[in-house]
Amino acid sequence: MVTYDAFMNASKPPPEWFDVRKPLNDVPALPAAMTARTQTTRLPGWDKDRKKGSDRDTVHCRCKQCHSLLPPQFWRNDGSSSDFALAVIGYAEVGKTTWLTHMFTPPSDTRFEMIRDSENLVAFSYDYAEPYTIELLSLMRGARTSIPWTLLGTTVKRDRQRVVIRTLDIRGEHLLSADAEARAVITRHLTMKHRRSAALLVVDRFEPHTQTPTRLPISQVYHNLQGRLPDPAWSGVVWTYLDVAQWTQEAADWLGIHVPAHALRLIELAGLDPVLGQDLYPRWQPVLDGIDATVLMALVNAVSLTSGYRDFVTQDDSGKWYRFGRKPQTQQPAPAGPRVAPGAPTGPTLDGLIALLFRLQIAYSLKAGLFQGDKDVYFLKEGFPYCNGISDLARELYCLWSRPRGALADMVRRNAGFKVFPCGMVGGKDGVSVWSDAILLEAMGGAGVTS
Amino acid sequence: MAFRTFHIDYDASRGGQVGDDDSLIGALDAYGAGLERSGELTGGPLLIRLRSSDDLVVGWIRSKGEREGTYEAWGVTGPQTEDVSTWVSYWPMFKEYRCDDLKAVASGMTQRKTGNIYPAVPDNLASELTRIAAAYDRGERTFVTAVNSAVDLELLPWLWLLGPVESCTATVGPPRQSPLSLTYQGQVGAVPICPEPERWALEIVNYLHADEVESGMKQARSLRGKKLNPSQLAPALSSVKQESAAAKPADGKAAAAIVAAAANPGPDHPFTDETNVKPGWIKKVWRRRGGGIEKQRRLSLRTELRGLRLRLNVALMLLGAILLINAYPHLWQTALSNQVPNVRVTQPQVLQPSSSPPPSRSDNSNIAETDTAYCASSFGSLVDQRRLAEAFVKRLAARSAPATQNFTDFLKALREGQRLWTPAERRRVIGAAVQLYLNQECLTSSIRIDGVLGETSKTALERCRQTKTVPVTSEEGALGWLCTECAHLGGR
Repeated sequence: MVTYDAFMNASKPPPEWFDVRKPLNDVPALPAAMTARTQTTRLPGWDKDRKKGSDRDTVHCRCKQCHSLLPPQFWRNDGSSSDFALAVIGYAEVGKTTWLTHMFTPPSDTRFEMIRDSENLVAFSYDYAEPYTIELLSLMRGARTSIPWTLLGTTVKRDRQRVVIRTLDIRGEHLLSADAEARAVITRHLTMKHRRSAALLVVDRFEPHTQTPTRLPISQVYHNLQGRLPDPAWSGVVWTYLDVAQWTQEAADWLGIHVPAHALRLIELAGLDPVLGQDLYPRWQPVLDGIDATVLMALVNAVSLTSGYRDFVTQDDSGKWYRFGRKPQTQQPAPAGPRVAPGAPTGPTLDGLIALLFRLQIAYSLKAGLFQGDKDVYFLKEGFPYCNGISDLARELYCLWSRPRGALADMVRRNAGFKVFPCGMVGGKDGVSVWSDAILLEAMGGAGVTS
Repeated sequence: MAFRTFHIDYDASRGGQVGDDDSLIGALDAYGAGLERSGELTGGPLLIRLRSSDDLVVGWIRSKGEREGTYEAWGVTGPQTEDVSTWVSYWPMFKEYRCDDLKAVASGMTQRKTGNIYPAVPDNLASELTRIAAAYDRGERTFVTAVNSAVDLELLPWLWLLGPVESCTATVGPPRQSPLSLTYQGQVGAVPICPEPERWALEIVNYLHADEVESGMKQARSLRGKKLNPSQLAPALSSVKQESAAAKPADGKAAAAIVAAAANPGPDHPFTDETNVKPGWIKKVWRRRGGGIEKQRRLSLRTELRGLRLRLNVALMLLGAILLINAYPHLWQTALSNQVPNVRVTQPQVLQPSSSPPPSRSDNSNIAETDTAYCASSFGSLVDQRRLAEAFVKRLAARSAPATQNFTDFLKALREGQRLWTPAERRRVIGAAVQLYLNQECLTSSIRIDGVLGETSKTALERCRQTKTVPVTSEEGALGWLCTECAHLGGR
């Protein structure tokens, strides 16, 4: 083990290590605010530190070819765990690394997690994601990743099942230009021989309607990759920065027209501002009682109808959800460019509904927190229809939001299995993530690793 | 064009770090990650060689500030085989990004033209060079320079130009740590640079103060290979021999030339560039140098002995003179009067000025005129300045010199008579004068300390005391650096 300082200033690191991270010229320095960590952070050293005659020790192992540090999840196979390869793509500053660390690291405040404080969902990660540690990555949230790609290894215990997750985090810029190389790395990662299931998460960042979309559509990258992915590979969108969305009067008006029965309760909820550090329960509790799966169902139906899709959802007596008519009203192929029905929420209305979506997530977490018992039990008993409703609403709103941006709207529409994970933070950039464990659960479920 | 410009900037809406050359973005990513986002020191110069290609990058990198790990970089890139020693002469053009300026730099560097806008010589350059040389002797090969203010950034180009690392392999920066520090590293020549690093540094910096950058560079280059130490020569020789064996030249003559060259390298032989050893090149260079290491060693020894003998003679003479003055002051007075008949010395022991009051030392603007008048009124126009100065120095050595009142006269004498003096005498005189200056804090325009004496004399004096060196510059030009402890004068 060597300090980060020694690692960074090593006079002769193996050239292969740089070759695979081409064109990296040096080991990245830590952000200026974390200079003190260069002396306290310790990393597995280069090969010269390893004992002679052993290619790998019991804990740390480096690739024989490129000398990259491989998490145990990449090379240790106990036979009893499910193997799951995950790759994350997205442009710069959309929150890829941030949400990965949130997913794989138990947050200090589990109030806003879906089921995280339950013993039925435990995630523990390998300490290192070379050249950083997981701790460093958590502290560096918001900072730009300076390495072309990092490997993270996580083992998740869900019920009685163990899932070994091998994650590839690709830097945003890598997708812009070095497409061929980035594609090769992603494809290789998701199509390894011994993998059993794989998933590709596309991270897309919410931007208010006032902001002119300038980013290149991520759909192009996705389409380029899709043809190369293995058949059972599953995809989903992580929709980040939802906490930025602002509640608007236009959204309130829209709710009054399209969801008149529940508009007051929803407006009251949307007007609440989640501020970390305050006790949320006293303020939110009067509103929480009126928010349930039925309200969500009405909201989802209203959004679906007005957006031009006959997409009813309903619930039977057992709480099971049914979906009808997931087809565009016209059978003609979708015309190119923005295509939004006249009554569909757009602009400030859409922004307001997205803000409402984020508050509905928080509302669920608080309701689960008030439940006398395990969060997992609450989820299975009462929370499941609510979470499904959130998922559907997120999907509808994402399609509406991303269509003018040329993003993945059509792909999401066509593919019923394509999930959209709404993500936001309570307390701003350095706050607490909301429902980061839901991404983990859904990704594993979507890829067929867990039931 | 051998050199081309580049500019990398961060724009999240365009996808993050974007620029002309994608491979360059990746290469510089590691350096942009650790920069301070605010304050005076958000970046600095860099001169690096790329791993992924045969190019080198000369430019500037600074934090973008918007987001941790984002940066802006600009400069020129070109093949590593190109000579980039002129980049320092375009210093201001690197500090701020301006597209047209960069194009001019690229064009100038391609044509190997000098920009002639060097950075200011930092006050601590000599001490930094000394420190680096000492660090080199301890076995260090990477030299880290702490940067406390924006002015300190100007150290790096000078270190690159004049330091012990061969400029063909040296790298500067990039800033990698916070608080900002810049590295200067590369392959150091396989020979020790100099047994007296302080003197070496002083001599080099002396040229810079004389605005003779080219001479300073030549001096640095020659000193990098000076004073070959046999114990350190052995591994270098063996490595050259291995290279020559690996090269396997086709004809026997070339092989013999390589082996002979390895056994007897010239003083400036670039051991660091062993891979490029070519028989013809070695022969050519050594013929030009006029000999090998043995000859160089003999020459060095001879020069040292000569210097030692000279110093001994001077010391004996000085001692004799002091004894003579103390023992027979009247004889000395008579002798001086006889040898210099035109001098009207009324009080030769004290060298008092005439009754007219000395000019105010605070009025620096009129010092030149008043000095002349003062000198003439005191000693007449036909005074033998050389004798006067000699007498003054002798009294200085005897520690019986008066305070400030005769210092200007002495300097006048020095100016007038310096053509008659031998270099050794001149050094001795200046050394004594600066000792006097340091002891008595008198102000003068004839000897400038850091070029601005009279305005910041207190600061300069304090700095001199700290560094134990005084940069001495006469009105006519540079004279050298002076050690305040041993009064040794560096330079020509």
